[in-house]
Amino acid sequence: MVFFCFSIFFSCIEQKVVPVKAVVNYDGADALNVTFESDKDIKDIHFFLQGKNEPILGDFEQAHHTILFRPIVPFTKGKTYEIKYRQEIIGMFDVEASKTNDNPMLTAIFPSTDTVPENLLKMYFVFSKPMQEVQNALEFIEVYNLTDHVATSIFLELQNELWNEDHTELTLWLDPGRIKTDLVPNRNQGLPLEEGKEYEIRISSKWYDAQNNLLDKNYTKHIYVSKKDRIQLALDQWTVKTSKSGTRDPIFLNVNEPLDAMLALETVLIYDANNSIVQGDFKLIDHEKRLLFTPSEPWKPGTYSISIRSILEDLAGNNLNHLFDVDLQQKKNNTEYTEHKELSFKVL
Amino acid sequence: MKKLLLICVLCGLGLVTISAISKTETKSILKSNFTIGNTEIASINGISFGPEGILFIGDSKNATLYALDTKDTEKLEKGTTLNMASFDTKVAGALGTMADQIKITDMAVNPISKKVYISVHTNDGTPVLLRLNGEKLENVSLKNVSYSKLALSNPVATDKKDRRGRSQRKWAIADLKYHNGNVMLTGLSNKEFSSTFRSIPFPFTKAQDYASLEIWHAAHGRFETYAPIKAFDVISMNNKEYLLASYTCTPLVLFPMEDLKAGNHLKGRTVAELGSGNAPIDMISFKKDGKPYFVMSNTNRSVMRFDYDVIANFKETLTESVDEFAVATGIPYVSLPMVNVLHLDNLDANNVVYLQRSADGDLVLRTRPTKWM
Repeated sequence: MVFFCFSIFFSCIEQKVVPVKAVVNYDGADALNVTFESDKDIKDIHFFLQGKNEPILGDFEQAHHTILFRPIVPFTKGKTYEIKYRQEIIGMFDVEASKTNDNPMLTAIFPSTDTVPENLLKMYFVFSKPMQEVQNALEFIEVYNLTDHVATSIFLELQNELWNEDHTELTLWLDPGRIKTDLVPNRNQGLPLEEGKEYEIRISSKWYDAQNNLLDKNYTKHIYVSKKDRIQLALDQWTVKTSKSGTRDPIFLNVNEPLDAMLALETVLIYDANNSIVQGDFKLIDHEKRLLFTPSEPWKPGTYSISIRSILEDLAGNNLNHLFDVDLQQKKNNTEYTEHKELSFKVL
Repeated sequence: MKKLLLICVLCGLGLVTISAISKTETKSILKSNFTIGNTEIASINGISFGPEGILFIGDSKNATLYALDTKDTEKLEKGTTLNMASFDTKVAGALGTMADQIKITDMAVNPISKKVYISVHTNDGTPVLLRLNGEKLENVSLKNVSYSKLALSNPVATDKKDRRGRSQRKWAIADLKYHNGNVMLTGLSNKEFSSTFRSIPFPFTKAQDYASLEIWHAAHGRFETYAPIKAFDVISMNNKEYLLASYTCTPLVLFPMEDLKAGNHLKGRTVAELGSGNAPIDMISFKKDGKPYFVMSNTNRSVMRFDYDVIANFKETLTESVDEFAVATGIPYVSLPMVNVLHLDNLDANNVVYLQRSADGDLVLRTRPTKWM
């Protein structure tokens, strides 16, 4: 009987919950770990997102009377967490919500022109801040055929989306199975865009950035579809507007059609007569039909060469070596396959 | 007494030396150039197991291929039968967040321990590697681990003139597999639309002497096209090995493995087209009643099962037009009643494991006997 009474007494003592005061430790905006005073065995302590049953994975450290818990990824901003000893909640803590309220913007869509070839291959969407990496981009981009008044699907859904390193530039391909001549989808369904029709691309403001801020507004882009581009990029159609020595006035590379906006800025280099790279900045203007180059130092008189990597593409994926898809039954393309092509100009 | 003590000390030293030597000798050749430290992996876009519990990790952000020693080498013949509903909620809970704040980027099974590994990205792209022990999630640390790595140089050849420095080009690693001493991987560029497939000898060496190939396919024998490969597998038919590659633009193409040599301009044999608006996700092979098959999961189609014998006996390339809407042509396949399968791998000799989005939106991790595949 005495043993029974003692058991109840100690059991009551054990059930008494002493709330712990947890301190969240931040590194910048990231809640990296939490500390609290306790002598309890860390094997029986678990952390949970409030109301959830899955214990959070992480590492414990215990020194003197202090326990530190470091989750494998920082605690989520704006959320409340529970500390449990066995099944009992012994503490709760809040993680500060994001202080960044700057909504991301969609700063550019390429091609920037509103008239695109029927066999347009890809589009780029450029954001002012890194966008979230969890949901598929196509959940936030809709395409509407304004001519036929129907929603349409033109982009290929990829499991691993094509973003740049900091997740600010998205590349979307128009369904290549429908663009490539003679593949079954191309034969059966035709191209994703139809010549003579008008489309609206709608980008939803429900798209979050990596810091859980929504896109600042809805965006739209209208495109009008012209005929197929089955002409290879050819330097003999390009001209160079040169500059004067002693100035830092830009030279202009005038192209007869819009270039791929991303490739154009990274495939061109200027060399002087000593085969040294001329330092300076490139800029695309006139809906990607003109590339201008401003040198860091004033031009010196002499002959310069413009080296262009042959992977540079037009809007239909035709590059300096070949068309997007090569018809083997047609007369063989006389273009020599090279890594680079060159143009030259003089500065007087 | 002193002599006895000396003998004991010498014996002890001898034992320590022998033990050290034997330890050195038993160290795996494959892991001989592994170092211990923080991998600094920035993203996990693809995972696949090699031998000895080595997990290959494709990191697109760092443009690097990692080999991680998981030390998970306890052999099991059979994997755990799984049927875990709300799997994304469970994974998110283990990371202290909600299901809409994570993305499961890939899944692979260790062929030795039969344990399921999943890679996860959080909202801001932080990569995490998790392992299932039964149904319990465990963290696989990417810090203070034994690993080796290989930076993937720009696969587009550059000449000495191009000294502009870093490239803006990023390769989204689409699929990777270890096969016979090589890690094979394919990636999609965020810039030019091209096809590059790499076969990298393992263990990694500093010299990047691996094959970097342009692989083409022909549409109906007439149009030669450049295109990226999304998923692939190595299959063996009639004592010959083939790369079976699935392109983003639908063709399924066979290449003899012996032709995969650096600098080769390869044109494969198209054996099927798999319909539009669809990108392949995972390809695996298995045996059922002693007969080899391979299956492929897709973004917009159900899981497809192909019979090796039919592929081996399919001698023609696709030449005829088929007018039926979005129909697949070439070798026949069976559409399995498995839709929205996001990741797929062999669990053991008789089972597969897959992650599936069910009709009500729930994400379920489950296993399935190959006899029902």
